[in-house]
Amino acid sequence: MTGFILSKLLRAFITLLLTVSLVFIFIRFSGDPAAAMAPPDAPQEVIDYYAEKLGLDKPLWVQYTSYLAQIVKGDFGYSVDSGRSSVSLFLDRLPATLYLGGFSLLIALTVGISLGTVAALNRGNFLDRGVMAFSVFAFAMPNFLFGLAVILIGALGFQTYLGGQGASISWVGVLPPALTLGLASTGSYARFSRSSLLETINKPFLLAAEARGIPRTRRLFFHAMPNAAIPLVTLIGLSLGGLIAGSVVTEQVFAWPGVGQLLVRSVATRDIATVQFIVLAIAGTMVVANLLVDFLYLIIDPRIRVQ
Amino acid sequence: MKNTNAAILELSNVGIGLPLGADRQWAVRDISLTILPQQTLCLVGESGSGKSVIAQAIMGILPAALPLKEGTIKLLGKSIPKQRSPSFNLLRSVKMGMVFQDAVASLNPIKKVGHQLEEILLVHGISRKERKPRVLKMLSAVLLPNPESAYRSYPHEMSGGQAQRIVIAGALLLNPSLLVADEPTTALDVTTQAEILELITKLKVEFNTSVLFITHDFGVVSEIGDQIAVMKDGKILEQGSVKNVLKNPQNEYTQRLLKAANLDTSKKKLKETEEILKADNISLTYKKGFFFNQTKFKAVQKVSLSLTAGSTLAVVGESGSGKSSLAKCLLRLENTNAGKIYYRGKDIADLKGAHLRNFRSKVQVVLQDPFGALDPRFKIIDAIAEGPIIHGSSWDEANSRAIEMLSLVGLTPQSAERYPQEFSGGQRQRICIARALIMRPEVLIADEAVSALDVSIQVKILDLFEDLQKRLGFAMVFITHDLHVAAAISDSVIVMKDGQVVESGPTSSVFKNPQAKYTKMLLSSAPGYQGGEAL
Amino acid sequence: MKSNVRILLATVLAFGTIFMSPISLSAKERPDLVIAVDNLWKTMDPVIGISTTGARVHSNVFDTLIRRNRWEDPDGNKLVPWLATSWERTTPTIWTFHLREGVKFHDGHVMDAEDVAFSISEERLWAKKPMAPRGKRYAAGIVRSEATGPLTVEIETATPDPSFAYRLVTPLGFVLPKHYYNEVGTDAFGQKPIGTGPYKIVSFDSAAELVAIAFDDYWKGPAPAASLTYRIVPEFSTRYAGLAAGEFDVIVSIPADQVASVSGTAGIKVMEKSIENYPMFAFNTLDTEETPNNPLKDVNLRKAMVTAIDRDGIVKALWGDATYVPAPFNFPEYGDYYDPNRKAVYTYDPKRAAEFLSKTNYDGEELIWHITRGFYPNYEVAAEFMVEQWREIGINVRMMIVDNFGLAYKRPFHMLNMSMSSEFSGDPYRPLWLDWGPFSSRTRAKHKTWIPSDKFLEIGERFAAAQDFSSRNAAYLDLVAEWEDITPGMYLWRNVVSYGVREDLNWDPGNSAVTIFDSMYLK
Repeated sequence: MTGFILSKLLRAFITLLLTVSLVFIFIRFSGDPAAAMAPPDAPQEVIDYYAEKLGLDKPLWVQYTSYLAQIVKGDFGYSVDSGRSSVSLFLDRLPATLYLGGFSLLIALTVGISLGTVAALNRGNFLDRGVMAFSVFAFAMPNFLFGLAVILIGALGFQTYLGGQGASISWVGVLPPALTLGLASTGSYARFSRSSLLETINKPFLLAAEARGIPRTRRLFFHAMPNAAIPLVTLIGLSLGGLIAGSVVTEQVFAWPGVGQLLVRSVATRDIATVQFIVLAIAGTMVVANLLVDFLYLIIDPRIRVQ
Repeated sequence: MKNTNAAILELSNVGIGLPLGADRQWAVRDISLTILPQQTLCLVGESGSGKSVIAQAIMGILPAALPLKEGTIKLLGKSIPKQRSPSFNLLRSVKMGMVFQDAVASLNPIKKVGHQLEEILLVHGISRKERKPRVLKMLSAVLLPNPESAYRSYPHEMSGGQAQRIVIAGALLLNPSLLVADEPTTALDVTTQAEILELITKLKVEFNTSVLFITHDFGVVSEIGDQIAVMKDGKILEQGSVKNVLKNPQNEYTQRLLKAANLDTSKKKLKETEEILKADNISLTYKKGFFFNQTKFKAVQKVSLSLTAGSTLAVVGESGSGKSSLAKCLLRLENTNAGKIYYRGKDIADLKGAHLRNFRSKVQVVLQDPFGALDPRFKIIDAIAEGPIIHGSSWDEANSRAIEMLSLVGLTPQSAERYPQEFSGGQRQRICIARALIMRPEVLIADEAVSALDVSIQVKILDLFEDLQKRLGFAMVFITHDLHVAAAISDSVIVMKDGQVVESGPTSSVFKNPQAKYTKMLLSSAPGYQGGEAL
Repeated sequence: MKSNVRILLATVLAFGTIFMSPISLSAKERPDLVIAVDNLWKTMDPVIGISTTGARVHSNVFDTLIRRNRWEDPDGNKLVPWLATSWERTTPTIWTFHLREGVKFHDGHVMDAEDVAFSISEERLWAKKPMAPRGKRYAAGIVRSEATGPLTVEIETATPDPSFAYRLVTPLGFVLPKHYYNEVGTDAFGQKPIGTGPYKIVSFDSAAELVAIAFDDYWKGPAPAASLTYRIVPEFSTRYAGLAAGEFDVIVSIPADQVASVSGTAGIKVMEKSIENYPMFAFNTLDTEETPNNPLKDVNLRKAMVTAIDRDGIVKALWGDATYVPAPFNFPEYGDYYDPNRKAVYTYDPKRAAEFLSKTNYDGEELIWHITRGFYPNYEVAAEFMVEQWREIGINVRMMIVDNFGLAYKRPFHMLNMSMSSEFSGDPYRPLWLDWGPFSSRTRAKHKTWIPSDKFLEIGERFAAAQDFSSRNAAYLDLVAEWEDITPGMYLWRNVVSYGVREDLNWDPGNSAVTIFDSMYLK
């Protein structure tokens, strides 16, 4: 068991190190960051000024090792021009993203799983087909397109602006972007929970439970659903891991002041420290979510504990 | 009128339909059965004969696709409710309980078995205080050594035998009048099977229960049954007391089945010819896990064997005894950790290039699962001809030999253009054999090659092996858990347990006069086997 | 006593405005304006944050010493005293500015000469490592900035600069509070700046929005709006939706192809303004390691390329009447230097193009044109037309669209997209001499594209030294002629910015990307 946990943690650490290194490399090889940062007609002095401020005048390996050393010390650098630490920029925007991501996950989970359950229990009839048609639509609909449609219909049809309200976030305001963001995962949760439940319903132990005289509702809620939920944990883990990264497009479309927008803007302005920290944070949540799923499996599925 | 009041279960003229488009209109028809108190009725037949459908109809769990169209089923003199009706829940567990073939699969994998048993009491209105003690009492009644720990276990933590005891405990928890057991021991090792049969016999008396026992195995019938009904294609061919039917079968099909079930070693004599394959003290250890949590598992330990040209060696053992690992070593699919394997005097570990290719073509394998062994996208002809083409034959030559092979294994040349999914299990195994034999092997390793097949098909495939061996002269290593099969086909036998050989020798002497304690136990657990005599 | 007077004064003023202009904004409830912008610069320091996204805010928070009169003349050719009430040229190199009395910063501190001297000081703008390095090019030539009295400031330049006063309408002229700036430091000032402007910033989050409320002690009287909220809405369609739904009052950056549909929406008007910025491209006239045997070294090929393009046709097709193709350095914002009758020497003329081409050794070598994706509206579309026209006469140009200027500057390239701003000095000094002369990026940066000819340098020196209009104008025309003779680049059009505005909002920014919501612009 200790071995299991240790090897998972080691893998998580390696993943993070790789991410950090790749971001470091990519950001420096997609055009000179200092030149990208300065305005287009900036004189060489200004470019040099930024290069010095970012430490880009030093050799690459010196930059890399000092970057790693700083990370170990918990110093993730600061954003040039604003002078704010990348962590504080990130934390300022994090609540909006978590609010959006959390709401959309909640919608996706409740709506998706309910639809999937309804479909599985009505297998083959019109309800099932309707749910499946919806889930294909939901899954295939690009969320920028859906988001724009929502916003334009709201504005032109109902004189209501459905985008973000600047720095303030509210649960009414979060609904349109959360629905947009949650649409695709609602579709996949519906499909996934339907097939998982169908598979479970056809398992011998449910027939056996029926033969033992266990009533139908109890079989569904106490036997079929808990078993069907197990594979969903992986999907939920993926959603949790993508909580920060997943909303970039939606935030952009809805002007939702979250981490995704910060990331896009930081990439555009080559705000190296901020980009590096956000990517690290995204990788971190992915890794943590994966670890959580692994450990959650230990708890919910007794079959894994013995291995 | 007969006196039917005493009957626990009475089926008269029951007919159950099949969905449109099935190969026949009725799953079963004209089924009339009666079970009297304390009696065990064995319903015998091969797969597809409709015996399980009858069990489901009695329990009220027939799928909607199989409607109960005719006849009546009476439990304790009263007609049972409509299939799948909620009012069945007043009968299930209370008046009748059911046991399935795969006990582990019939338990919820994520709930403790104790809680699953308590649930039966819960939904039938037993008060909370009473539940746990009753479950524990029942767990000791099914002879689980430690009821408390069994109560806390999850299904996957139990062996098949233990799980079957749990399921039986559940079925008898409310002391029903009827126990329906659908192939309850088929998935179990022979020794465990014997224990479970003994348990059912014991509980039947203790709980004053009648039993409907469904099986395909006449050995089991002779152990447990009072009455027997033989089924084929949805019909009852013959029924009566076990004693009468087994001693003096009337129906020709019953006779054939009985013959197939015999433990008959008379056919084979060991021939003295040159040694073709030899294993010398080989061992194989698997390493599992990675880095932090590595464990070692000794699959094969110091096994030696010798195979002479044209002879058949049976490797017998229960699951986990290492027989399949041994086969992998012989095929050089696994490298041994110790010991050497010689093919025609050469260490196969040293084979390289052309020598290795020659070895691969001369030592062929037939596997247990004829469904998984064939690529569904390959036509039969292509599947069979693939081997020779890889080893350098021209396409035409390979194809004509493939057709030849098809007729050799008893399939028509027309089947060449069809796909694997169009064939039955037995036919597919013939195709696999043809595919192996087209390489003109000197050694054929058959790993549980007939285990997935029904008995009557088993007999045919075994006959085919023997016939082909006579004609083509290859040697065989026949790996099986089934003593009947080993007895029927082999000249010599090795018995394996926990990776080691416990006994070896000519088949007739080992089976007639076993030396090792384990071999004796295996033989005595084999259903229907008494003191070395067939049935 | 004093506060009583102020209340009385305020009351009188309030009544006065009601009676005098019954329909003006101040009579009504002052509106809270929401401006949807595509981005906000990360700092609101008006020099470090020089940018379009910053300039939309700066003039609402800070005042310059001098202003241009865009509210009367869209091109703003006249200088208007602002924080400086008057100025004179004391000696050829010394300028003296007299400051307005009683101007308050948002913290109540009264502006004085120290603040002005500091704002243009060496430590802040033109030292070797200044606080705001981007100010250097505006401050070029300044050698002294000194408070000589409570409300008098002297600024000395190294060489005589007759149009120095014009520089103070640029970010150089913004007056910052010395005491506060030194107290909090450069970075913190940029996050929570204070100025003397009509609005004071109450919250600024560069990733979401900036909120400023009317500064009631503004020296020119209360601002016409109760508050300004600059909200980042990166997606145009979302900005449009917010405007249509009444959430926003002003939106910026309408894509050229969307203008028609936006102006067709009820309750919305669109303003397209051509501004003092000119998209163009520079010819790489140099042999470098990456482009040896550069065919563009030959001036005849460059001239062939310029004359091969029907710029007027392309601009008409892309922009309609929103903008036009300027003759080199003949820009309306130059006041007296602007000559509406002067035409470019090299214009569309396929025959002439063929002649120029025949004088070259050009043999169909591929010429690479670096273009920064989406940076200049319509640039890529125009470029496609141009590449086709070049192909027709046998010149093989390949567009390479890259994601940022860092990549655009990476050699090899034969042509480099860029834009030139003219807004600086009220005369062609900056765009012609500072942007192409010996100190410019064109000749000094890693991505330099030409080395000025001796003649260009000589005329340039003469131009820079000229003190009276006629000699300066003559030098200017000579310099333009030399530039055209060398043709180191090609102007495309005068840039266009567009605003979507709530129909009943009486606001007009003039020909500018700078948005100001004070009482001069917002009625």
